[in-house]
Amino acid sequence: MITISHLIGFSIVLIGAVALALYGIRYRDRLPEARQFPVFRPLGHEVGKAAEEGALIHIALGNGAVTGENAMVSVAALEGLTALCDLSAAYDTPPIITTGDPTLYILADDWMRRAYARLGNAQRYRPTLVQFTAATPAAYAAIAATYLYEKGVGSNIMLGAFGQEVSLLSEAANRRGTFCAGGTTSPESLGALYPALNSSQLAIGEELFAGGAEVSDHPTYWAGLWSQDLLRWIVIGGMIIIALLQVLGIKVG
Amino acid sequence: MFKRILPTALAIGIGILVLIGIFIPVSPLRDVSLWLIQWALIVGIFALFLAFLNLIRVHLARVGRKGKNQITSILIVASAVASIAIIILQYSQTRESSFSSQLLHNFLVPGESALLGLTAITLTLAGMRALQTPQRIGPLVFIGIATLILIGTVPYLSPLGSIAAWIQAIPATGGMRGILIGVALGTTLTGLRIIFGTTRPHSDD
Repeated sequence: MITISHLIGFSIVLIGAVALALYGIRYRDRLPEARQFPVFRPLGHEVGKAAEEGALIHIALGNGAVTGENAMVSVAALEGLTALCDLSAAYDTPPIITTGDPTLYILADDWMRRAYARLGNAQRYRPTLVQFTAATPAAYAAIAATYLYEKGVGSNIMLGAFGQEVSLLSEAANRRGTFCAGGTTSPESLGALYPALNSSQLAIGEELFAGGAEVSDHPTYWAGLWSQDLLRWIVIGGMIIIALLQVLGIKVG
Repeated sequence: MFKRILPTALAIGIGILVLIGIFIPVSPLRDVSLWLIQWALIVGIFALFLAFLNLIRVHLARVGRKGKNQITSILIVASAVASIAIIILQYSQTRESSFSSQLLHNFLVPGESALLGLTAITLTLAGMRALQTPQRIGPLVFIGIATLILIGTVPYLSPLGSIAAWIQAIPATGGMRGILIGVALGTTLTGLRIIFGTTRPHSDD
């Protein structure tokens, strides 16, 4: 049976789809001034530092399964790392990428492999640098944290779906004085990362989805962000209207 | 064609079918949508197999390097191989009575709980460290509120308790819902980009 929830959901998706198409067409050749997301810009520079100093970059992608509700969080995290992956492949200083989910491991491995293939250098790709670490969140974070104590890890980037166990990773990085950046979506993990990272190092909630736009400046990604802003205003408007109706004694839903 | 067009066409077609099945939950649309989701889960099981092999390969290489974490890697390889052997040998037993289930409940679950207990300490340490950087007002508010909520849970401190309850019920819940709505919209638009084929995480374009 089709309920009112289905209709609301369908309307939001439909408006999002139309907005995505219209913004994409309007700005396909030139991008207007857009807001900045400072977390993602310095990630590419970390590769330069890694190449100069011989330091390793550790990327923790969390536990967001590609077959689960956090699939798009994991995809957005990888999109935010595109520039870093491409530069790593160009300098041949690949990061260690750890995942806590098998399907995400496959996606991350493919992502890094394609970064090498785009340069026509696929034979230099080392598959053991993308690793499935453990299947449960706490074990994943604990084992990934041990990697930070290995010789030469100079940067720790935590992007993706985490829980409060991400504090094991951020604490290990802080103890070693390692550069840290992160972005996550659940309130528990944000509570864990907020005291450990400053505002230019942490992408909070929906900011994680801006990574692709920030690092690639591709109109498609920006169209997605502007559509997201439009939908947000529509949701806010809907909430205000419902609140006003409730105050007037009109029952909604 | 097999490298570019086919994956994109499949992703778009299947994405649209699943989306329609969710918004119009009538047969056969709903059934097709559920089948496709089940197929994705089956593919996920094969991913688990590949990931398991990756785990063994990585840690065997670390054992060979004789580094600082050699013992950890030996334990990981040994426990992974032992776990899979036990599960294969006991495949005919019921889930409750099997030794693998006993291992899960008596070994893995307490271990996970201990690790999560450890996060309470790491969170406290992160909070203390945040206090050492006075330029940042956010962490100060964060630590102050966290302390207030903790003290508010102590019995006989009813005024603080009611303030803590109000903070949890109104601003904290509002903030959490705000974050979750933003994430839901971001998830929707990222999914739409993939369904429309404008970004393709599954192909070389």
